[in-house]
Amino acid sequence: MQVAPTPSTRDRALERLNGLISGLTMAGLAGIVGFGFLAAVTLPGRAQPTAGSPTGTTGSVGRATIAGQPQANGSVGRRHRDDDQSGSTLPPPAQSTPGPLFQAPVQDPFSVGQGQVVTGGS
Amino acid sequence: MGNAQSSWTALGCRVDVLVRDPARLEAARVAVRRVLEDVDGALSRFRPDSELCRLNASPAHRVPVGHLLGSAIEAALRAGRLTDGAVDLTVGRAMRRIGYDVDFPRVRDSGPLNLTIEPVPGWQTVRFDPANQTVERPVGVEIDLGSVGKALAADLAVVEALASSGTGVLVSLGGDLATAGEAPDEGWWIAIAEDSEIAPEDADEAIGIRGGGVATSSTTVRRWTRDGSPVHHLVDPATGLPVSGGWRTVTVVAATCVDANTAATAAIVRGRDAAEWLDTIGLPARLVSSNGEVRRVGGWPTVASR
Repeated sequence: MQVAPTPSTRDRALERLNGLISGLTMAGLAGIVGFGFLAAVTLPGRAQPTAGSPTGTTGSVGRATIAGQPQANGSVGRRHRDDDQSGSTLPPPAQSTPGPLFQAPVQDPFSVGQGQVVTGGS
Repeated sequence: MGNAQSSWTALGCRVDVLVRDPARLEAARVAVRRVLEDVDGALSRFRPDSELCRLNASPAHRVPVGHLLGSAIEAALRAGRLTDGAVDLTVGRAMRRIGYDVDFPRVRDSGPLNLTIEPVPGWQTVRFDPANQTVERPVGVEIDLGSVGKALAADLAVVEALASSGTGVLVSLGGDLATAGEAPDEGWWIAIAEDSEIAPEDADEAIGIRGGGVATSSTTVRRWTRDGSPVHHLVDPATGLPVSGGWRTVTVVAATCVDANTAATAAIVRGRDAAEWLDTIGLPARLVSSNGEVRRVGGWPTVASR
């Protein structure tokens, strides 16, 4: 029995999500040196730098960061320290799925008085 | 806060859409609805016509699947790998065995629960070929994408909503949250609770985020009884039975809702060492023990109680 794919808006959403996830991965690296996270997430589906691309600045800089080194925003670099242990300065290839490690938020959460929407078990 | 918000019910849970620009709320809402309809048609375990149900019923070893189901299976396999199998997509049969085989409002006490330990087949028995969009698994292995599926739906919906509305968006599916675009200046404010149905003002504490996703797993919700004994929906793949660990509720913040949900669910399953594990993987998390004690790790704000 074959389960036929059903082309629809979801495929477009998947493509956009893949772009976002790639953007998040790049942003996690870029954030180490202060590159903006917003640029990655406000342009879903945008092309990401590919291996060998001259536009791979963010990936190259991020990978040069020393694991555990205090960062300007205090929360980004330490969680992506294991993304690459090869010593390569090439940016990572665009990914169709999230990377091999958990991806931390670009910025740690902060305390506020009262939420507008609830997270909880469901 | 100047956000606009729309709420309704879908996928068996409350849906909330918040947008930074109130004039763009309708565009975001329509986009989220479209994605959720697609998700329901592809990933539902309770709709016989869903792609997932057809996959589970297929007598073929290798089955072509659509992009959405394929992506969800791929995400679930990654979750299995990242959690050493604490999150496992082959719990479908175990879920049926404990009685969770229909939409939750229709789950009934179906007699005594056979407490025989029966490990699930294991995520390693399932393979996804992204090039050919096919899934391979031993015939009879039942895939359940419940945990990762909803989180992926939130991630997909928020991206689509951003594309349609052009403004910063937050999407919550039953307490699994994803954000995209520019956050409000003060951030997105999230109330932290064990039950996503409570009012924000009744929550235990609140956090602000400027991006990424938040998810909570809890054994305090989706509970029912079997012959008078309480049962809940979080199955330990090692036993095929409901988890009985030391943490009853875990909330995690990550770059995506899928990662937050994966880590939160794995933490419940892991039990005793979950706090140390979450700290090791570097995700901000808040854990509530079975006796109500709260522990915060990985950058979760320490002064948050109200």
